[in-house]
Amino acid sequence: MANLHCRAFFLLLLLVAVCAQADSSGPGVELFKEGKQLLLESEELLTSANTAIQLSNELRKSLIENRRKALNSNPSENQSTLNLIQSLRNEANQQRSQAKQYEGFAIEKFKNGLHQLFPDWLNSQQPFVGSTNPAHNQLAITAHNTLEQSVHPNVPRTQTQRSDASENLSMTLGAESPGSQQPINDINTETTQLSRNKQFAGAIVGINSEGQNTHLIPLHSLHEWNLLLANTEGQKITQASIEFSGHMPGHVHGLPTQPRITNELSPGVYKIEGVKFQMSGWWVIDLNITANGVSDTLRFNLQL
Amino acid sequence: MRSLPHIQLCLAILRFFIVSFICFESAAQSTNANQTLYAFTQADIDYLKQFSLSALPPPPSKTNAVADSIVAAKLGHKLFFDTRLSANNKIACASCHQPQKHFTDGLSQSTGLSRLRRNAPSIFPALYGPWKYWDGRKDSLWAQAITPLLDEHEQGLSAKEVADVIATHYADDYSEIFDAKHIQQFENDPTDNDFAITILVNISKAIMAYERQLSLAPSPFDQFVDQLSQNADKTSLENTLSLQQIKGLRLFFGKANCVSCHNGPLFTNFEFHNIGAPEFDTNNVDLGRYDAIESLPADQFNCLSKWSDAKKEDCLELTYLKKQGKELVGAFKTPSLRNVSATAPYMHAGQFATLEAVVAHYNKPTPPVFVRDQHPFRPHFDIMPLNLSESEQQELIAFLNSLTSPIPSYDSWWQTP
Repeated sequence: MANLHCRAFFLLLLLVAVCAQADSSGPGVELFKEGKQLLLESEELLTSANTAIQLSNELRKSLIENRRKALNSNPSENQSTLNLIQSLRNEANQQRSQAKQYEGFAIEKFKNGLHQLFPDWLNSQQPFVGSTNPAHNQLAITAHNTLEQSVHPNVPRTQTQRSDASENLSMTLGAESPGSQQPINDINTETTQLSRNKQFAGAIVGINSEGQNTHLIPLHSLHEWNLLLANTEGQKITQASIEFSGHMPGHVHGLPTQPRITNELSPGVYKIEGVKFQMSGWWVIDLNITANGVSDTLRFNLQL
Repeated sequence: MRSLPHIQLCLAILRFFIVSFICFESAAQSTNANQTLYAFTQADIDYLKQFSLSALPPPPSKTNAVADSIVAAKLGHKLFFDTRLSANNKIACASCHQPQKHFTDGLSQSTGLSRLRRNAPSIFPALYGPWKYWDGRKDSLWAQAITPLLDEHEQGLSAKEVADVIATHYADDYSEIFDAKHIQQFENDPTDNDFAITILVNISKAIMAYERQLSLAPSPFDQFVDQLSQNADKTSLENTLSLQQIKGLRLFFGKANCVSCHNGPLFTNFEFHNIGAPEFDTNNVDLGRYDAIESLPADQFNCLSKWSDAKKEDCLELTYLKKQGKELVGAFKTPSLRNVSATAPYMHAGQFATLEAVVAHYNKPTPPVFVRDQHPFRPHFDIMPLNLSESEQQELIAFLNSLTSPIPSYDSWWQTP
């Protein structure tokens, strides 16, 4: 009798173990776990960096106090405090850049995780590129006076400067030739991003007129995108309400149409219709997502 | 000293040679400079080809089933010039859209039965672009054609009165293209507005079919671009565009940056901007695009309406209409610069009488006026000062003159039928 119970218990354990295995072997879940782990580590690094900075600030304050009171006029001790402050700062900077690096790795993990989670919807993803293919039947070339600048001085100016004859030797006309603008440095134009508060990981895919995935975005032409959405656990986000907005930094205009999410084609796969870009350049697309009481913003930088 | 006169003579001769040498050199240099002005690289030529009339695709027509029908165009041609289609029997479409004036009327604000608020645009560029009128309040040319017929300031008829005219004078022509029973239905029950509107919509589609038969002959600019593509010699190039016009061309596409909005074969990007054109009446400011986005979705004759022949998926511009954006206040559609020299006055209410005034405005623009109780937001201002010199302004205007196409004398569509 006891033997039977033992065997039954053993079988139950085995069953539970198998079930647990099955749970964790869902598509992409491993990758999401690793990504989440990296995010946690990144956060820890940032916290540690902040602590180091705080400490160095305290030390600096006490050093200044001491100097003021002329208590500690021992130069070698001052110097060692200064060295400590500097090393703390260096360490903090290093930790911050490492945190950023980890975040980059995490996004890479999420990207691959999304590929596994949505195998029918995503293929190899490249950053979007503006296409001036004449087959897209464009009538206009640019949208407006691109000398208009209303940027904060910190925004890199490469995008807002026109190429003129001296820079573009193949043209004598001083016109801005589309596609000749230098891409912004240090701007991540990946089509998979993490949301601002790290709640969602999303990928955007362009859809061409044959209904296939593309990274070539036509200018002056209404087209569609698909958005694939999951949380950082690797679960698809369904029935989210999403708002689409976009603008060009430093330009006084937004998008020429109002794109909308029209349909959820499959759990976590959303169709965005009515997208149109009236000019090439640096676009910032913001998707405000609300799902299961959680709200967050996915931001994509596009160099079209 | 005795040798002085000799020295003076030698010096004089030397001076003469030096001065003439300098003059010759600078003349040679300026001729060289002029020669370089006519020199375009292959990249330039490929760029300029995008602005030629030959780069224009056929105009869109999804909402109009008879858009390409010649029979419908012939009916539309007659209707376009028919003054019986007005309350006082004196006004036709052609009254404000006169072929000899490139389908404008030379007035600041057109006058039908009474004075209108806006300047009459030309017809050919209106074939293109998703939105018609200065504020883009109609999304097809037939929906636009209906409006003056029913507008109290223009032709001032009702749908029933239009249907009456058609039933009386055009019953046969109508029945050739559309269903003859429309006329019968209307005559049997003139009070049913739907029958009247059916006829109204159909004849407007015929008018649109007529307008699609209009075409522009190549302007000197188009000829120039053709010559460049064929590697013509410098003399033919100089005969097509003068030096002043070439300088203006280089300003247009370069320093003055007009091309940033006036681009494409029709020299317009069809977008809406506020360039600070002076407000005609500050007691009744013109909100432009901002007003139009209110009326467009509910418009009786828009792309998604039952009168349109388009499918829902052909009406994406309307479905995804941009309704937000403070830049829409006081914003008007970039007009085409084709034939601009021949279609004064300029701007949405004809505020500028000459191109000199227009260029002067762009040169040192005044921002749009902000009337607090009428403007929902402070209007945006989409242009930067050009700061061109007097001669540069003249050069720009000279270039704009080169965009005028000759009015075809052989094309029957441009004549009264």
